[in-house]
Amino acid sequence: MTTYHGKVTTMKVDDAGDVERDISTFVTDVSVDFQKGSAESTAKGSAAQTHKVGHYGATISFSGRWDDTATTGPDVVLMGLLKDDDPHDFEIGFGGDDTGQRLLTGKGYLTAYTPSSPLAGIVDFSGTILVTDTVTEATG
Amino acid sequence: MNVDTVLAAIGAALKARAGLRFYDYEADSITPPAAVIPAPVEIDYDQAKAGGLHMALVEVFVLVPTTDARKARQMLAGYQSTTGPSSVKAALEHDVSLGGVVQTLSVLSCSVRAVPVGDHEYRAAIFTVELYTL
Repeated sequence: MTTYHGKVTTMKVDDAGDVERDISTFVTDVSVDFQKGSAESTAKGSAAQTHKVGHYGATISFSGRWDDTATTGPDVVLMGLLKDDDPHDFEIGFGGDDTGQRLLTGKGYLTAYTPSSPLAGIVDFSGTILVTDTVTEATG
Repeated sequence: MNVDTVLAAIGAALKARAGLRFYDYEADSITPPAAVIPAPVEIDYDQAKAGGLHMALVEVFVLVPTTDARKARQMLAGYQSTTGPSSVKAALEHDVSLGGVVQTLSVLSCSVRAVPVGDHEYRAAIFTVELYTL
């Protein structure tokens, strides 16, 4: 068993021009919510419910420190993705991206982007990527 | 984060914009008015993934002589003000990156109390500065 501190997690997304951008150093939280569709198939007279499962899907939620650095900063990268109608690559390494680490890769649409500014604190952002098609479990 | 570089950048900003002498250690003697900036009182490492960001709280002590109470209060008022030629907040937040040394900073608060330095006691405005750096 190998466990990891959250600080080692990496997150990379391709920008709207399909250039990989490592936004790890801006990101404070990231989670991937996998869900599988299901339909009830209970027959009349049955004592208990039965189900059939369908396709799986995933949504990536992330948040971090807002930064307007040209080209590579998350604001520029994410605004570009928000205005683009094509899916783009992502890569998340919960244990980091060193050789041998397990990486989640795939394509997705940025469906939400929320910069926010508290009165007392640093300017933040959050975003959501709706994954389309399969998620691959690769090894870095 | 290079703490020495950060403290030097704070001192340079105070010298350039508020006209303050700067000591980046707890000196045994000073020539007031002066800013004394000891080591950060708190550092929170790893505020983003992959070692992306660190937060530090720094206390800036601005010391004034107490030989003339009225003048001391007037001097402190200038340093405590949000604007004006000796405003510490304005001096530090004029360029919140300190010339690119930090990602951003904010002067959060100020309190006043007596501070001993060697055999002398000075009135001090103590500013708490929050900064984020790589």
